Amino acid sequence: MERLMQVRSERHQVAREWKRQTGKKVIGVFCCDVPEELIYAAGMLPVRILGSHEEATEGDLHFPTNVCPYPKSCLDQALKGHYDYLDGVVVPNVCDMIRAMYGAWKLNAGIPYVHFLEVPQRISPHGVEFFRQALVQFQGLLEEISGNSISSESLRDAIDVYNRNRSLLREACELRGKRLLSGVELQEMVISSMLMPKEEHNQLMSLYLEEVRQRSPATDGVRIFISASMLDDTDFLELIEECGGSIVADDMPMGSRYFFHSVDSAEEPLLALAQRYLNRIPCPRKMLPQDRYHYIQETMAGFDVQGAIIHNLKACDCHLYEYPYLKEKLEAQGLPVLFFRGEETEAELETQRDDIEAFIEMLRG
Amino acid sequence: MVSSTSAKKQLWTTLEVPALRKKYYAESLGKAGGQKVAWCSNGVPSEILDAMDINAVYVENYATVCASKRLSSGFCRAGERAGFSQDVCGYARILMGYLLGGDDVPEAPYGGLAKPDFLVVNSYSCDSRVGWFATMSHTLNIPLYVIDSPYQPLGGCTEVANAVYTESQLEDFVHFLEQQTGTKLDRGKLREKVELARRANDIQVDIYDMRKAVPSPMGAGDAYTVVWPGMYMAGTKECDEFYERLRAEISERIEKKIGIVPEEKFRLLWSGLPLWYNMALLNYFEDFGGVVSIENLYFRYEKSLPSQHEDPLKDMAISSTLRRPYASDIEQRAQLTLEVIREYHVDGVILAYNPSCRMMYILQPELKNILDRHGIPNLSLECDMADERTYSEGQIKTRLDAFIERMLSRRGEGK
Amino acid sequence: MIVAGIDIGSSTSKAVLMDSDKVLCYSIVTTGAESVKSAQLVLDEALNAVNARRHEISYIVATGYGRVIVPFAQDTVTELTCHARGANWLFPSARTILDMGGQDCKAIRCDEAGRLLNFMMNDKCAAGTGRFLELMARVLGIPLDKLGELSLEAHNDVKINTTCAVFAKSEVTSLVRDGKDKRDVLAGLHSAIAGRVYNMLRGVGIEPDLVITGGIGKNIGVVRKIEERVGMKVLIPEEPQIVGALGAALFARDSSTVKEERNGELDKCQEATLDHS
Repeated sequence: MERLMQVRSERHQVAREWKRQTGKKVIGVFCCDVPEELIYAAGMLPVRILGSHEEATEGDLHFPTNVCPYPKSCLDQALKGHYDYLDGVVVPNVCDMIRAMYGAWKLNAGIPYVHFLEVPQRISPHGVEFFRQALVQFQGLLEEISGNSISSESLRDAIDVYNRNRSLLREACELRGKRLLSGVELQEMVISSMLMPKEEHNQLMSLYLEEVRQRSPATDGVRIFISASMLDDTDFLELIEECGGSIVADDMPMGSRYFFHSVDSAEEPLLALAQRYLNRIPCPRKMLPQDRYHYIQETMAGFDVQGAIIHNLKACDCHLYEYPYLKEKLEAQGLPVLFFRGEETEAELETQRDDIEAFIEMLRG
Repeated sequence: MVSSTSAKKQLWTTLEVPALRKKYYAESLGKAGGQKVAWCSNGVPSEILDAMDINAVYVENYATVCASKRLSSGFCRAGERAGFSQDVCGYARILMGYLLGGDDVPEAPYGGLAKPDFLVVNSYSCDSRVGWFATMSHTLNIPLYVIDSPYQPLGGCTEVANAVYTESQLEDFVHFLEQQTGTKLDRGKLREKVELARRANDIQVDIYDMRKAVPSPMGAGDAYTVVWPGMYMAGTKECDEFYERLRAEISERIEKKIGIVPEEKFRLLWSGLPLWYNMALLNYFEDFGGVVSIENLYFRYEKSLPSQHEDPLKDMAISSTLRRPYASDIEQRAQLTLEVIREYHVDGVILAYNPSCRMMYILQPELKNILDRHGIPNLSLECDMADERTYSEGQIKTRLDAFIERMLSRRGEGK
Repeated sequence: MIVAGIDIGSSTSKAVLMDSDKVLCYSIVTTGAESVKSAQLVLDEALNAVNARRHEISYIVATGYGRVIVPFAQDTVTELTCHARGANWLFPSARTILDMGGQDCKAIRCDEAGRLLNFMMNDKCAAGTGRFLELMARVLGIPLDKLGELSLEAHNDVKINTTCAVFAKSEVTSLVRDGKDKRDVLAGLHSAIAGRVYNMLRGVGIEPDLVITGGIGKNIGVVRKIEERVGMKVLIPEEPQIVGALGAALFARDSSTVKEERNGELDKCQEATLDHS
């Protein structure tokens, strides 16, 4: 576990070191919609772009006040030089603010390649075909950056490695549901998986899960489901678990949305990727709330959830519109809901503690 | 608070619009009960709905009507009571307020809207819209159809793939409409509508081109009004004839050198949405010799492509790959803005920061950076386009006055 | 000749009287609910200081938020143009001016003659304005005019990430409740403000010398943090609040055609005269 935590906290050094040792290239990606398998198959390392709690002094020169703080913080980190090792950045069409990252990085970040990956906003057979076309474009670019051509075999290998990772994370998710593993630990696993070579992560995960299976389940925490627009570190989850919550299920980009579904390895690889990435647990941008709710129920099933915490970053339109619906449905299911509108600053965590403590007390009854 | 609200209209043809709009809403409300009613977002092709004899109601336009009648505060408040955050699009809050009502909700303009049977939204401009329509679909318990538009043209997909996908979306849309109405789309009838809409588009492109003239033959005060028929009556003879008259009037003004002010001292570009509850701000510069001579929100850059296919949907899909002023990324937006500045002899730019219109708002600071690098004077005005509670007369006027002082000082006439 | 500049701000109204080459006196009053009365009051106070009467003033220029409601002004000029002119007259080397007033915060660039070249103002966010500091002073229970000095006694600046008034309020409340030293919290707040205004200054381009005007110029804590952030010494007028009114008076002097010699009466208020160097 220390190694996984270290990967997250020293992610820039880890990527730089990998680059130095292998002589290969590193590609930054936003969100769960970029098929990392293609980057892997081209012999490059995909890393998720994360923000920071730091004041976005540079980001503020490029975006106004009332926007989602996460992408702004990512840009801020790039402008401060923390992402200077990236050879390329992939910006998928996932929401207004993320797609604005395309121009912002292209104009200001000084990174050789910035690619816009088209993603349909509606899930349909035509959408899958359209996304597959977009992946053809994307593959061409990756071949250009890496100098390697991506063969069907290499892509199938990549899919196998990634599916293996997904099944390990799903197992961890099961163990979390049984409270052998904390919500924070799973989050560390997911985030580190986004930042390091997948085979290495698979090895560490196998060893680690071996240990976890020997544990005896925690019994005291209140079982919480969490839905979040974007929590790119573990601080908020730590706060919940410190306050006596025990996260057993989630709907988060740095959680189930990343690993819940696998790629069909029997299908033609590009088509299989297109299908999987559109049919994973979607963020609210891609699906109407009534349709998305099935996925949420699926993630919660069997874990005897007692209460729900929803954390949306401010000005995240997709989640803000969905929130009233989600609240209504969860409450109808008998789950009390606690809502936060986040700013992504460290200091706000302290202001959230009281609410969480009170909520957990209430759930304990 | 706000003293005067509507913009001063200088052209005779512009004065026809309020009556057209009133008639349009009255007809929509008075239509026979058998006709299906679709509440639509902008970007939903009215030609298709018209050809299928569906009563299309464009609710964003209705939100601007409510705002321009100074009713936004009441509607927005009601929308917020329903759980909508103030971060959320002002148009959405107004409509949700209209739908959910309450004791303090103002009387609806034009007697309200026809009750919808289903909803249609186009995803092309922003996330907010789709979320808003999904909420209405849930509240009203009626179906919603989402027409997905590629975020072209950023190189994410080829033009062909974009057109193919768009066509598939239109086909699915027609299929949805056929299910809702129980009738088949008459593609011959659609072809007629598309041809008419094409003509209206081309005349509007001409008009934009003519507005490069000095002195400015038509300012933004008129322009934000005259876009209305093109947006909501496209595909009708009335619409085409309106733009023909407008083009003739503008041409006459150019010939006779009739401008907006006696002596044009500086020309401005208004970038972003206007403040619908205070359109008079567009005329504010005129006492000082300034004219908002061009605005780029509803800009029409390109004439229609010739029809190539028997199936009008195919042509419509291909036309959707034409340049659009909004929903574009910052590089494109900056490039188009700089082009307009050059071609329309613009001296300065007003950058409207409409916080609840996220898509416009998020790109403005970068546009400002780019204008600064090109040495083009610009003013950032933060104010919502619909929610007039965000308007502060003193703060806005100070910014406008200082900007005017700066523009005049560049001419050596300032303090 | 006497000319007057009147600056009706959102929290205070200021008047400056000048003759052909120097400031005669100034006055500052709180802007009341009726701005017209405040304008009369502040001008009368200044006139009293030099025993002069309204009709002796040959030209009056009004500026500030309430400039349009000053009934006796012959002309109005915005406070941006006035601050540029006023600051540049006090410090001829001034090229960048940061005016931190009650309602707005403005970064201004001027040329060697004090002409307005460019400006940027805060958005809806209140950071960097008097009303933000007033709110924080209330939350902390410290008088507004003590904030600056107290913050200089801080040992460990608390990091405050938000300058959004709404969020800062809850942040500050919880920091104080958690037993953080108020002086450290204050220093953190001042740093956060400095961060915000620094970006506005970068928006117009910082060219030395930098002058801070407006009421917050009296808060030494904020000024120090801005100096740290910008990496240069900041010039502060003796009375930073009257720079807008001073600029207005300078414009009034330009416009005035009446040239009367009234030197005899003016010696009385020499102590109020600002240093022109």
